[in-house]
Amino acid sequence: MTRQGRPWPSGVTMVQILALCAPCAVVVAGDLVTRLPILIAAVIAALGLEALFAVLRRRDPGVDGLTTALIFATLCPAETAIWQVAVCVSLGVVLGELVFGGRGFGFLHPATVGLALLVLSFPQLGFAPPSQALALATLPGAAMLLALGLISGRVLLAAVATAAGLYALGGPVTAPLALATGLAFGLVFLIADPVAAASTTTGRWVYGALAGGLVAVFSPPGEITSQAVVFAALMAGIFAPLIDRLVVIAHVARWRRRHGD
Amino acid sequence: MGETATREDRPLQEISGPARASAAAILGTDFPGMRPRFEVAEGDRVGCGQLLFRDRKHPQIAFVAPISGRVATLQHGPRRTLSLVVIEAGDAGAGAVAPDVPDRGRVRQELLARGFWPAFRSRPFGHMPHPEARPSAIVVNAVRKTPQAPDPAGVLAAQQADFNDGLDCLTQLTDGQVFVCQSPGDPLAAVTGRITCAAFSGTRAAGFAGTQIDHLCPPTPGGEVWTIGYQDVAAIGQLFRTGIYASERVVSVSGRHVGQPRRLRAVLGLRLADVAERDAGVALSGDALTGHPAAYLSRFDDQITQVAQRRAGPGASWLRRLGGRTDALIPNRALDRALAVNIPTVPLLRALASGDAEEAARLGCLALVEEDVAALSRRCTSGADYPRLLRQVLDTLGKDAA
Amino acid sequence: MASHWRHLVTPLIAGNPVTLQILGICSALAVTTSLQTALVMSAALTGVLVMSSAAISLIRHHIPNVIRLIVQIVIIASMVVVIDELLQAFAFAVSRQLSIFVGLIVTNCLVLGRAEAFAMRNPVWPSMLDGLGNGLGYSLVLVIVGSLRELFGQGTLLGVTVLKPVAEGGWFEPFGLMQLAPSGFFVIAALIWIIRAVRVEQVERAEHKVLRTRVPR
Repeated sequence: MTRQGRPWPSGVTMVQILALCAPCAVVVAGDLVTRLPILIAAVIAALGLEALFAVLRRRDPGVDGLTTALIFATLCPAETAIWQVAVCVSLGVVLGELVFGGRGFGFLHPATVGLALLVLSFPQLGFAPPSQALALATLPGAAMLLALGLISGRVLLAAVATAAGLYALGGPVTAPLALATGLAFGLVFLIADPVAAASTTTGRWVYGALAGGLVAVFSPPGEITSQAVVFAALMAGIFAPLIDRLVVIAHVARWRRRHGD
Repeated sequence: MGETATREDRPLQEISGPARASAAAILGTDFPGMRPRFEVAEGDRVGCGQLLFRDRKHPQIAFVAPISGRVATLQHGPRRTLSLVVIEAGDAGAGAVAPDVPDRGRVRQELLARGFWPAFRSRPFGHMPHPEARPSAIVVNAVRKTPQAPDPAGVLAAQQADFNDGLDCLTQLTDGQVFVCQSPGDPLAAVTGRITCAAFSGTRAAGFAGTQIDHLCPPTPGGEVWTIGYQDVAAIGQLFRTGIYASERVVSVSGRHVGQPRRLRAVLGLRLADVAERDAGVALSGDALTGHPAAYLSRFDDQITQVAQRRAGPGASWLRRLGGRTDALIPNRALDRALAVNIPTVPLLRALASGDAEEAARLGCLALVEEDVAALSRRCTSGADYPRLLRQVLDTLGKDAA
Repeated sequence: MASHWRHLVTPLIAGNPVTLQILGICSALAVTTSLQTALVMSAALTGVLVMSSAAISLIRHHIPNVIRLIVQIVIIASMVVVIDELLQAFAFAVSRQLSIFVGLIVTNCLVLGRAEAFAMRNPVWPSMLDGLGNGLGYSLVLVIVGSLRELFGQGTLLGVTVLKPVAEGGWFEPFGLMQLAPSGFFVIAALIWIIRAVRVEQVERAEHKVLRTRVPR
């Protein structure tokens, strides 16, 4: 069952790709002429860089970049130029994971990094709000990831609860469905990503709450934009290791108190 | 945990008579780092219970022969550590050991001199304890580890008095409690002020002394907790009653291709070929998941499993079975549940994998030994050998402490 | 004489003050949005470094040890004032762009670091070469970072259009991130990465040893 030397996705990546198929297909099929080149460019950039680093580091090439490319192509604005896609995906893949040694060794999702760079560099690009079809297509993948334990229900729950709470504080929520639509894809694939999220039980609650809160803070009143979700994922991901650290410190302190040291 | 019962092995109570052993061994892998000073030579005739060698560092600790016969092999490993001692069964000759009832007032000295010290393991580090040490508690592990393992209640039914006697002896080694950890059911021992029974059930990990210690009496910094198997305790009771060194333990032989799973009496360190069924596959010392192919039974195993082929990682995470390049640790739910003790799993694995001994110690790895983290290797996407990593970290910590 | 050249050559890449010792990062971020400011800043810092190294080295035997930092700062500050006045006199526009960063050369760790580490215990000529070498090493990084940030952030180099932006009828979409401070970090980090990938001896020793073990699949 070993496939040494050949690019073959790891089990985790394979499941994630499977989960991403439906949402990505919905978006690409919706506007084939502009979306397909974006998807192809993203895939080529991500896989090309992984192959390059595999050669430089004399390792088996991975195809983890495929998930990065799929997420990027699903979320990025339709008018993004091909070279902009290539540059941002490349930077995201390199700065987000290859610098650290590949998927699982870094602390952010490369798609989050790439999308954040896209927003920062080309602020004139307009992110269309995610469609309802995209949100619906996210659901089966999310259910699969949740069932297989590859995303944490704690993160999802905490994020949704916090975002909902903050919106409710800001006044009556007129369109809860629109809010959920805006949040769904990014929450499942960017915020709840197992590498980016916190990895302790308590940490996951805190991380989810932080991410959900940031989404609400970064969004304009009454809606949730993709930019807000991307930046919330970026900020929360940066804080995830710190959250885990604090949880561990608290755990050790509690243990010592209980067992009398 | 999805790793427990399989169809073929219903509890089997009857225990067949002593297996005829052609040879028995004391294995260096059971006592890593221990350097022996041999007191016999190859070819000598020895009796069951006769002194074979002493620990060079602590000469009080004696290792004795599990069977009568001829010393066939005395083998050193790297840096003069123990590699292998093999006794071929036969006539004791001049070496026959006469029964000698020990003095109940000197339990520690008797256990050291009569070859029972190697039955103890101490946490932290999981090594044989220091001869002078006083543990804060002693945990007697009488939980049925797998459905295929001998049932402790059945085994002890015939040795109840000896078991209680043995427990009584253990109370003289510690100022704290002696815990008898068992599967749910009637208490296996007479509960007194210093002897407590505690029931554990659920996952495989309930059978690990590490899990039991974590719930009952985690070692505090500077303190230690000892563990010992229930059959060793009964043998200690027998020693103090009759003066005979009992080297027979009940073990089980099972496996997918083993016609009839068996329980039988066999000597410590028995040659697996003596009891393994022909054409039923490779014999493992231990259970199907954590056992390893071996020629002789480990001191700490009570189970022999025969598997068809060199196993291809039974129970390995399906995430890893899907194949592909995997060397990173991706947190997932299977991982969160794989550690039975109260330690944040992913931070511990990261500390172990990066060789950060200090952080691992802070998280509580000192209370663990290899078997506690074995399940993690099967479940982690990285496929890292966590038992080995843990041993290296423990060695580092032990060296720093010394 | 020839043996002194290493003082000049080593700090260029092998012992570069920015990428190896991570000194002078503040100004390297602040003044590199365009190549012009980077060049002027480089020249100013190199000038200050050479002159202060020479001056400090010259009087190194006469500086009481307890007040040496005060003396060094006074000398450096004097040089900075001179350079600042010169810039205001002959390149007023650029000096406005650089704002306080020329004045802040006084507190640049690089300048004080070389004075303390080298000029205080070496003769004048090696000290000047060392100052020049470190100044040029700093300049090299600034010029690279400044070029990249101006080229990709505005499509120009030294104000001359190289990549024609969309706004002027070309194809190039300015890479807005490059004009933001974080990109200075990114570019310097990438430089350090490349240099250390080639010169492995610069990589810090790992704190822990990663043990690679695999269980059979």
